[in-house]
Amino acid sequence: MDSRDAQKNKAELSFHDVCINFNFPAFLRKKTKAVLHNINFSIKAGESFAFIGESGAGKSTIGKIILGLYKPGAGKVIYQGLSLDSILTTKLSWYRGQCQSIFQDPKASLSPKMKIKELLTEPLILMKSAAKADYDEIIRIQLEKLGLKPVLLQRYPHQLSGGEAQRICIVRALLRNPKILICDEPTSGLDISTEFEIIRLLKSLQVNNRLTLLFMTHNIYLLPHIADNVGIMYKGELIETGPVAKILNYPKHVYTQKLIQSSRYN
Amino acid sequence: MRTYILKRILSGILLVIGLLLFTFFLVRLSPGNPASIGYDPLKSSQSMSRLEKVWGLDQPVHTQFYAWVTGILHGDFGRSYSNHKPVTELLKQTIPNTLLLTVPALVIQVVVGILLGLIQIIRHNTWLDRFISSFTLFIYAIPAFWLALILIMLFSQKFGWLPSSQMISFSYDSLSLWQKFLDRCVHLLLPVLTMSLTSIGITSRYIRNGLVDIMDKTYITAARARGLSEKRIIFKHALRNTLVPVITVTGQYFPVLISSSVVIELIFSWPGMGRLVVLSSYARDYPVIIACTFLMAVFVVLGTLLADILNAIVDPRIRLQEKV
Repeated sequence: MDSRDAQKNKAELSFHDVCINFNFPAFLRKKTKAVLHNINFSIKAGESFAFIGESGAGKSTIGKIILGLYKPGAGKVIYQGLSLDSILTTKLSWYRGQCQSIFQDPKASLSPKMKIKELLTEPLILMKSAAKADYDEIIRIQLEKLGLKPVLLQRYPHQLSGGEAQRICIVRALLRNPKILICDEPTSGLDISTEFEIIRLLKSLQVNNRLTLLFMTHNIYLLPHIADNVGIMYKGELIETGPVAKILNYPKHVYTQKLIQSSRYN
Repeated sequence: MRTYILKRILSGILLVIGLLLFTFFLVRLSPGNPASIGYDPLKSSQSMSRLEKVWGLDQPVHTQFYAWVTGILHGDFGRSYSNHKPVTELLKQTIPNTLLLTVPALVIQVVVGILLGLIQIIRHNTWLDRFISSFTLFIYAIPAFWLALILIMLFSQKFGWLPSSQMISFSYDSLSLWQKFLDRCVHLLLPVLTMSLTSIGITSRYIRNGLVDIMDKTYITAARARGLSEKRIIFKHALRNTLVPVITVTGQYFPVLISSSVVIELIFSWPGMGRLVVLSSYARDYPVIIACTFLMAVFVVLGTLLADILNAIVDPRIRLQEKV
């Protein structure tokens, strides 16, 4: 076992040579495309790690593997020293509580025909830890923490603004007291001021709740505000990882250099 | 919600007025003279003119239309040329019989269609999914009259389990209340089965395809990621969102069922509105044809209106459109 493996073993979450291929229907046959190729990284508890790369680079696929929605074709994912494979078969409901996510389009990730109250009650029903009578109070406290008014509970998702909808998604995720929060481009559909409000909110949650934050984005300018470490994704490969300041100031890979250069023009 | 329903009712009324005009003039444009039916060439032509005068056919078309509309507003659809009875009385006798066929057929279509669609999505891309898809499509492709004949041949002629025609048995009057109920149910089975079997495929396909589409939505992925059970995802999140197109199709399909009852009622000698339309067409019985066609059109409008209202209840985005 080398030092890299030893470091990974201490990590909250780590990927070991993870590969995944997708089959696409083509004319009279199936086409296979390698979406992730030998992905290796590790994240410590309470750390904020960002994956950056263009669309189709494989960022969301990493998130979906962690959430247990995709199964890697090869390699291992380790969470708190246990293989994700065995967790998903033996401790699935516990793991679902440990690992929550928020998505790119907040309104699309809220069921359109359910009131916000109904949507926020679901995680509490799943947890079974609180009495039914306490649901309203728990939800109200969590809403207030995120600066939302209880009046929103009687609304439907289409009646919310983008920022409100994303905060509701965050509340829904936090109601399960997760250890890891996966944020898959959570601000890409929002205007710039709301984007920074959400980023500040996520950062404060990460610090105050000791959340491990996985942040997928293609906006390099967000990195200094949200992440401690960053992984650069390119065509299904993790080409470079390290602390944000180091990667931004001393990029090694040509793609990373071009990515940083292009962000200066935007 | 109230504004939404009022708007729908108003557009429904306008549609009915348009249908009134269309139905009346379309029937008048058809060739032939109703007074000539049963006309004996050996008798004088005066008897034909007398009939035309009695029925008001000698009047200009617009006068006839005015008289007809005034009659309708007073609940009078005129008198049947062939039965010599008020059309309203004929409709009172036949509409309940037609509804007795179509309502259970619609209920079976919706319930079984939704169940099949759910089974298909639970067993998505398995042999069962493919089998249900192919079978319902096969049944849907069969003409209703042919399916009716096959069912009669099997269950009435070959096995002798079910009656092939009529609403009740000849011995109906001598039966007890419970036996009367069973007798009616037994007579309903084959026609209702014919009507519902041919249409179950529509509902199941809408449910299946709607669910396939919805199961790819972000809120379903989010629900899976949160750890919701597949059962809760399908029933609480997905099915709720699939209901809108199903309600729309069902609302529009109810009048189709009533129209298709024309063939079914003829085959099963069912004394309903469809059979009345066919027999009246042979007799060029204008008042009955127009009244039945008009009522069928009203059913279309009512079906659509009901579907719109149900959609507004099911979908808050429609219901709250006015407020946003």
